[in-house]
Amino acid sequence: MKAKEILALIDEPACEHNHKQKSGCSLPKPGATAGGCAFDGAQIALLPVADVAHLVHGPIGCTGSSWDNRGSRSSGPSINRMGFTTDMSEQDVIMGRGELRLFHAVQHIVSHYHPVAVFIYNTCVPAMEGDDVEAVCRAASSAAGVPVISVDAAGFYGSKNLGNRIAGDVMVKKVIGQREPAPWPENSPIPAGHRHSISLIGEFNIAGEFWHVLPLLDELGIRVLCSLSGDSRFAEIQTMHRGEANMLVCSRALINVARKMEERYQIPWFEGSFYGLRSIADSLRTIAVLLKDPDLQARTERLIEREEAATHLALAPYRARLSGRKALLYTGGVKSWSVVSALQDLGITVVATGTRKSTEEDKQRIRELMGEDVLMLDEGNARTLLDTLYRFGGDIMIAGGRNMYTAYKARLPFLDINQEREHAFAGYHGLVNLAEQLCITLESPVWAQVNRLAPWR
Amino acid sequence: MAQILRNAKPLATTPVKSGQPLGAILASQGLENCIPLVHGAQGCSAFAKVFFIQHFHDPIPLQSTAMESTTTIMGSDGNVSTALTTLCQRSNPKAIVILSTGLSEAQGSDLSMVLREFRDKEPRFNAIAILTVNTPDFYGSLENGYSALMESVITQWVPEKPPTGMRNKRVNLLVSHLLTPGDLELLRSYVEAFGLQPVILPDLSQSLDGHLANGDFNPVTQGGTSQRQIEQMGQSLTTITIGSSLNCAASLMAMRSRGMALNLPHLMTLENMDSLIRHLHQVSGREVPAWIERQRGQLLDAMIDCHTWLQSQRIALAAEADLLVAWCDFAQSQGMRVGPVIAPVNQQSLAGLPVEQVVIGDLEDLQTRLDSYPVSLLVANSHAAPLAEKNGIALVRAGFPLYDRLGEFRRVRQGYAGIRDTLFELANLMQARHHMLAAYHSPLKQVFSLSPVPEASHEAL
Repeated sequence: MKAKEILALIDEPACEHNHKQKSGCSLPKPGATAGGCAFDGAQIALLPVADVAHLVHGPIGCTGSSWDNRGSRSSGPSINRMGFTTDMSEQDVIMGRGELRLFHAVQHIVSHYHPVAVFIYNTCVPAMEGDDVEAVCRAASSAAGVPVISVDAAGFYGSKNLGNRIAGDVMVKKVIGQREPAPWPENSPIPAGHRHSISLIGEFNIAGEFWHVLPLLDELGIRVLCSLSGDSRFAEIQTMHRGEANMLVCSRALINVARKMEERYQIPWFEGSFYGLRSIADSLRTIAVLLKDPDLQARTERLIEREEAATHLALAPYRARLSGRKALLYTGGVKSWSVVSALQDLGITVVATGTRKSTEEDKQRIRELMGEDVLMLDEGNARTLLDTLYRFGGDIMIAGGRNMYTAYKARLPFLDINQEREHAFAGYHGLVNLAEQLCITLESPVWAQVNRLAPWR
Repeated sequence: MAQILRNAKPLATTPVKSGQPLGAILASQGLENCIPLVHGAQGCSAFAKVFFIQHFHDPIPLQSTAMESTTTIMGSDGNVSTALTTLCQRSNPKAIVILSTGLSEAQGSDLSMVLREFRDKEPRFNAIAILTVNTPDFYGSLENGYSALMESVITQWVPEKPPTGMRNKRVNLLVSHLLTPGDLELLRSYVEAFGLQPVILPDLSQSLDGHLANGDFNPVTQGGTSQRQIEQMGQSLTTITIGSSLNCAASLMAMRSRGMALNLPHLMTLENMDSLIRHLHQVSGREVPAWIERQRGQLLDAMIDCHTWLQSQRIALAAEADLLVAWCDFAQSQGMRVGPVIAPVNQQSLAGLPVEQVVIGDLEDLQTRLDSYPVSLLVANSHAAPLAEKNGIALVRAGFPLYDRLGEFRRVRQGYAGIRDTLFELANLMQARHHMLAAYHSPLKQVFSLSPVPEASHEAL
């Protein structure tokens, strides 16, 4: 990818930060950086497409330490978890054999595994070498008879956010719009006038948590053409242009997909989440409004009422146990406020929240939820997190997996809220699950023991 | 405080109880160059021999007085003398332990008298120490037999008045059956780390640790607590007793020694281990060595790493009382919920267990309770394997006999390292049982008529 193409992608009019300093897209600081690279971003955005073979073109370093380590779940195919890579050797690099190896790798994959399509991810070494991945894709595609699509997001192009955006861009340009949606199932009880289709962008089905939400949409007669990319299929992505509305879930970095689909296909979109009662209700209501169906709106209200009543009952014992507990939340973007609202549903006080990747809108919502004096952490290094927690007498740190041992080594309870977690927190059931996981760690008798000094000291 | 539920059943089915003689035989294996002599019919010793061979995967020195129909009626003292003479002549032991069985007890055999008569008749064997222990199998269980032997060793072999002079580096360790040879090795290293000399009674780590020695056959135990060590126990700096079943033995020792005493029910919690180390630090005057602090730190780390898997998990126990106390304290200290609890016989320590109920019973009683109170983990001996499998429970093997796993006889579960590794083991068992959220298939998910892609090929690795 050329430098000017990268610059074009960094300019994203729908993003709040666009006109000023782009914190999410800024250059990493040498010696003080923590995030992944553009390749990482592209991979995590697309790897959940379950019936596609994802082939990483490069030496072993890129795939070797990162394959099959994400928690996105599929209800069917698992070819996306194979960790295909061209595993380039020194000879491949020196002799410029990368392109040929890539071509044969695609042939091998197609003949052994018969995927619906192949995505090829470019990485630093072949990018520097100047491998023409696009050309290989064209040749491989005609030889194999399946779509072979290149995702050119080599690591050194930029941050993980940039990689997400590149991946989204490829979907918009090369996949979305190529197929008409499948017909509604014949025996569907939903009357013809009330059948709606939407898509979700940036819903990754971590730990299968979207399966707590999908039954609700099924009940309302809302078909999800595609959830990009959790538990998705290649053909589903191809049909996304026929959705009536798009919901951007917790992923600022795929905002370009939502915007471009609005531009090209006039599909309205909104940003929302399914963490906590308020977010769930807001998202379902917004969908109903965008779908312009008053009957659906009425049914949505009844569903929300019913589910909230059941959830309040299920949560009551947990609320008693969690009330008064204080949490420090450090996580990205929309989760910085949507998870706050979920925690508040459980009676937990959030003493501080991370806002490094949050927009002005996110920060406003945070102020609404937590009060004007809320402490917003822009900087998320371990020392800052711990000091903040100590300052406020926090009981637990809720953050991404990389901070688990920040908390544990400081003898503090921790809950993983990011994509490596094993627990499903979305939807009504997910909220009860969140309460249960919080109780498990907060109530363990190990904390009292590990915080005691040995008696001879 | 636990309610003890006694059993109204007229029988035992799939029992976890074994008789007192087994306990005394087990303990005697920890005495140096010893051979236990079981006063009863051949079966008692034959069964016991096989029982322990299958557990320890090693030969077990053992003999029988071979009571048969005539002597059972007419008197069996002659059997005992004959057996003693034979053993002394042929096997050249340093110690013999004569223990009774239900048969000899019912007959009214007086072992002390028999021994006195033997000494009179055969003074040439005076150098061989001979112990008598009463271990009827119609009372109590393995635990009672083990502690009976310990009490006999102390009353019969440790002088009532300790000799003058203190041996200020010696530490007596009276250890219950709940410690395996592996546990004893770790315990020894803790004591030696403070520059102290442990005298472990009985020391199974010397005889049944499972090592290949020189020589081919030995009719007596390969090693263990020596007579000399036992005679000098009254002069030790301190006596540390591990296991509630040995509280009586501990008092008997306290009367015969001058050193400080420490009694702990087990070493399976951070708290109890800290008490042990603090005691060693105090009596020795030495700083706690870095490796022990490090090992303690490893335990703390493991506690944190494992806690989300163990919190609130249900764990059932079926074992002798000393093991029940250890596992109950351990499990609760890690946030697990203990129950049902099955004990083979009532013991004093059971009323103090921090559970609602202790059932005096067998595995059938356990099964009845599991029907209404399912659990994730069960701590029991190998006999519980079919029950565990039938109920889909993970079995953690403890106690006697452990015949269906190699190496289990010397598994380390006590001490910082033992607790640490047990935590990993249990957390991994819970992780293996964890069922992920079932996939939801929406009826509205788009179905395309693409060319069929066989699932099987995706699994090919």
